[in-house]
Amino acid sequence: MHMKETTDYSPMQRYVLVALRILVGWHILYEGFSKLLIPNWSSIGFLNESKWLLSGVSKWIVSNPGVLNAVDFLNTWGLIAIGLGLILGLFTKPAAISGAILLFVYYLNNPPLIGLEYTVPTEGSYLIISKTLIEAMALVVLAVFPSGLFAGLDIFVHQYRNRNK
Amino acid sequence: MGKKEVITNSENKNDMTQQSTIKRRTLLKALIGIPVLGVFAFELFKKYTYDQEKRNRVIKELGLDNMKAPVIVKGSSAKSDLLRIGLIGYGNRAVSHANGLGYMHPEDVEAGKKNDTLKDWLAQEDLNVAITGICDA
Repeated sequence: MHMKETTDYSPMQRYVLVALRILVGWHILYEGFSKLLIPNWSSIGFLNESKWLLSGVSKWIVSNPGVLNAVDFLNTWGLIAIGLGLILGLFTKPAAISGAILLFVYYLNNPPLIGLEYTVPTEGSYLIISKTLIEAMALVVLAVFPSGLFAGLDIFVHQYRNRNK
Repeated sequence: MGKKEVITNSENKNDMTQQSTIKRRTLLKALIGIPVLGVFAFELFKKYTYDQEKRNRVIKELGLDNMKAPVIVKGSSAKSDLLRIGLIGYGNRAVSHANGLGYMHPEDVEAGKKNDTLKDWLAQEDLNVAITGICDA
């Protein structure tokens, strides 16, 4: 399959995808910074609430302080790196894929399935599908389109790689 | 200078202008995220200042200025200060409290071994607490 040229997309398609990328990037970047700015922030509360498939892994993380610290660190800085990548359009594809995986892991920790009760109230009404899952899917969409080449620093990366071919 | 040459020169000039316009457009497109990051940084600073002011206002109003915020205990390797606790009266309630803090009477340990509840109790995190004294008549 040939890689489509960026000009194969209509201007509207390009604008919309870049806008989506920046909006999701903004949200993820702020999620990262908000954790960084809260003194002693930890994912322990979220992990303790974990239900369903990943509850065992979450309990293991919580019971190992070293692992918990590593998870907290990677989560915060991972969110910041993904957010920066999406806003700047730099390494957009890896950023979008990592973001989608991270959000999907969040989703698997507290999916709104029938019968799962959470002590922390959610801000919306969900049945199986939550906004986290939708945002993860939005990142999958961004991963399959070269939005970094429409507008973003990936243009320079692309030029640099072509020059060195 | 012939007419043809003049046309070629002007075409070259047009080409160059077009190329520089494309380059400028590409550059602008590549750097689209920078102003967004600028706005983000500005808003982040505004939000942080707002949150800090709000927090300080609430703390002051509640008279908690001199109190330290509680720190989440992340388990045994958390390097927090040892919390020393003394118990006045050691009834049933105190036994439960002591168990919760990580202390158990040797007889209860044996009982726990027999009915297989000791393992669960041992799985609790170390709260870094020391019972320094019990006053019971």
